[in-house]
Parts: sequence; C-alpha cells; structure tokens
Amino acid sequence: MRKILDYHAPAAPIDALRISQSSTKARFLAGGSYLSREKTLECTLIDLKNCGLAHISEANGNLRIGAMSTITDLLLHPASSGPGKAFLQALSSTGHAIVRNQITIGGSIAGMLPWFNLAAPLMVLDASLLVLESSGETTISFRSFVANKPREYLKNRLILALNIPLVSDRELCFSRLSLTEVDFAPMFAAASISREGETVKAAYVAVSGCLPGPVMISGASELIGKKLSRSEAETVGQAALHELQGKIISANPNFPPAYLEEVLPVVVADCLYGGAN
Amino acid sequence: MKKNLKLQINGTWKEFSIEPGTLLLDLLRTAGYQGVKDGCREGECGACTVHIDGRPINSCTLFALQADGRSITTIEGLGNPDHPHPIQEAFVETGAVQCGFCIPGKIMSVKALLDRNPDPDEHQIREALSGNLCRCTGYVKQIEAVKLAARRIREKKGDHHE
Repeated sequence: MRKILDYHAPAAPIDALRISQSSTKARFLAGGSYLSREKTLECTLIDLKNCGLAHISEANGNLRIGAMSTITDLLLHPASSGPGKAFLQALSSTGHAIVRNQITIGGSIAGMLPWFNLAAPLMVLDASLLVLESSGETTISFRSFVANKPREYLKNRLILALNIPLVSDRELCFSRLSLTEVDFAPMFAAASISREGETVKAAYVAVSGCLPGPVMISGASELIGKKLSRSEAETVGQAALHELQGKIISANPNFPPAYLEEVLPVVVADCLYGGAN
Repeated sequence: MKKNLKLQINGTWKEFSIEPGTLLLDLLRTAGYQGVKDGCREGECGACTVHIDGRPINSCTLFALQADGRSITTIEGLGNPDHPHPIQEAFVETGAVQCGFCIPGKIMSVKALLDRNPDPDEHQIREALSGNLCRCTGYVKQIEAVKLAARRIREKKGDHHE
C-alpha cells in the first residue's frame, strides 16, 4: 500500500536538498512515472517541478540539459541535434510517445534503470553532471557517476543538469536490440569516433541495458590508427563479448542472457560500422 | 494530511483537497471524468491519457499534485454525442471502435498529434499512438480514422493542398 507521508514543492534546489536531508524517507519527485508505480512506496515526496530545472541551452560548446527537462522537451529543442543524429535516435526510441512527455533526464539518470536509452551514449559523449550537495555545486563525469554506484552517490545530493560537450569532428553511433520500436530494449550500444581522413584517431564504445550498469569497452582503442571497416568493427564486437562474457543479465524472457551473449558482437559491430558509415 | 490543489479541467478551474499520494487518474474519475479509463495503472496501455498543457500524459503514473495549477483536457473536453469532435466523428464513421475502452485515450493522443502536425503520414500516426494499446487489435481502421480526421480538420481550416 502506497503511503505518502508528506509532499513539498520547494522553489529552489537548495531548499529541496535541505528538505531531503531532514527526513530519511524523503524521495525526490521528477517526472513521477517510476515513483507513482511503486505500490509499497512510503516516503515524503519532494517535487522538483518549481525548482527551475527544466531548461535546455547550448553555450560555449556544450549542451546543457536541466534535470527536469523531459525527453519530449529535448526532442523538440533544436540544440538536441548537437551531439549527432544518433542522439536524437536514442531519445526518440525511449519508451513510447506518451511516456516521453513525462520522463525527465534527471529522473532517468538517478534511476539508471537498465532500459535507459541514453546511458551508453552519455558514456561515450564524455557527459558530466552538475550536482548540488551541502557544500555547493559540483561536477562529476557521467562515467565516474556510474562507477560510484549512482544510488549511493546521490544520497544527500541532487542532480541539477546534464552537460554534453559538443565536439565537431566526433561521430556518434547508436544501436539497440528490441523486438519492436517501442519495446524495452535489453541491449544498447553507442560509439563515438573521431577520424583524420579515413583514419580513426579516437574511438569509444559503451554497452548498456544487459548489464548491471553501462560499461566502456576497452577493446575499442584497437581501432585507433586504422581505417574503420566491417571486419575491424566485428573485432571490437568480439572484444566486447570477451570483456562482458559472464556479466550479461536480462529480465526480458524474449532475450535470455545466452542469446544476448550471442548477439552482442553483432550489435556492437552494427553500431560502429552501420552507424558511422 | 490533505493537500489543496487547483486544476483547470476542460477550461474550468476547480479546487480539490486530496491525500498527497492520489493519482491524477483517480482524482479525475472521482470528480466525474469517467471518460478517463482505468486500465493498466502502469503507464503502458494509454487508456487513461489526458492532456496536460496540451501534451498527452498517462494520468495513472502522475501524482495529482504534480499537475497543480495546470490545464488538463480530458475526452469530455473535446466533444460530446451532440457535438462530437471531428476526430470522434472519424472514429465512428470508419468503424474504428470495437469495445471502445481504449478510444478516449487514443483520441487524446491523436488530438495532440494533429495539433502539431495536421498532415501526418502513417509512420507518424503509428508513432503517436505507440503508447495506446488496443486489445481488440483494430489498428488498421484507427489509422484510417486518423487520416480522415486530419483531412477534415485541414479542409475546415481551408487548407486544400491534397
């Protein structure tokens, strides 16, 4: 039985943080699509809707996304194409048309659920988070945030914004494995590639969904100094399998872990080669 | 401990005093807006779709207090049997309604689609309806209905480019 002990809608993030620190049962409320479904929820809700966190801007070579911006807000904002078409692809394949109007970027990052489409892209895009803690604002890279166990890290902290550096010579690629366009996909792969002519000078690959959290594939560095071909992409796919074998999980009965291990190299290779060529 | 909130529902401001855990779906149905259907309560089926400030939202996954001060449109705000909305007329005329349970939510999604895109193609229609399930599986007729409604609304506005 759901039991909401109290509800606050503070006007500033610092007030939200203070309220959260005064109760062990406080939960921040962003879009609400997840919290509202928790049948045994017992907490004080701190609604962030009045905190001024629904903003999107492009400045100084960065895309800044306020934590309360919804996926639809992002899809409609012209600056969202900055990180590349694949970023829009990842956004538009998030959930279904209605839920995209509700789920927020901050809530999705804080929850870090396996079906969060942007987890792998944010890993390879060098994204960072602007976070509020008692001593003031601080920045943490998305990769460190993931490595720090997000739920632990966010005790006594509040995500204010997501920052994505816009790098002109970087190509973003994205692929997902699912039965239908609106299915909860069990596997996401993202890659960012910089080239000089046809030669790869930097390559990053990340996989998410089928793992406890998103991970970088170190084998992607093998691409540096080479021309990206199908066989090179397949080599990175095999490296991904080597690195992740035994760690693959799946809550989707349509995609058992053994099957995901089988298709992982293909999804990674398709992302790298199909997306970048 | 109850909380007060104000909602503009179908153009009329109303005040409520509710438990903070009340979902918007339950508030609306209790207040008499029974065209908002109680389906999955998981944000999956779309039967409870309403507009908040013009955007379709699953009212089953939103705490009512989140909508405080905002404008809500339910299916009752679009039309009625005497004065149906062109989308409702098109659904009836094309035979797009079977059991009817999903239809209010679908029509709210279609209304939002046609407000921003008066001439959607089939892919865009299917995309816009991706959050509204029909277990009678009558999708083909519903897509026909959306195309008919779109054409009629464009014609009404004097846009005869077809």
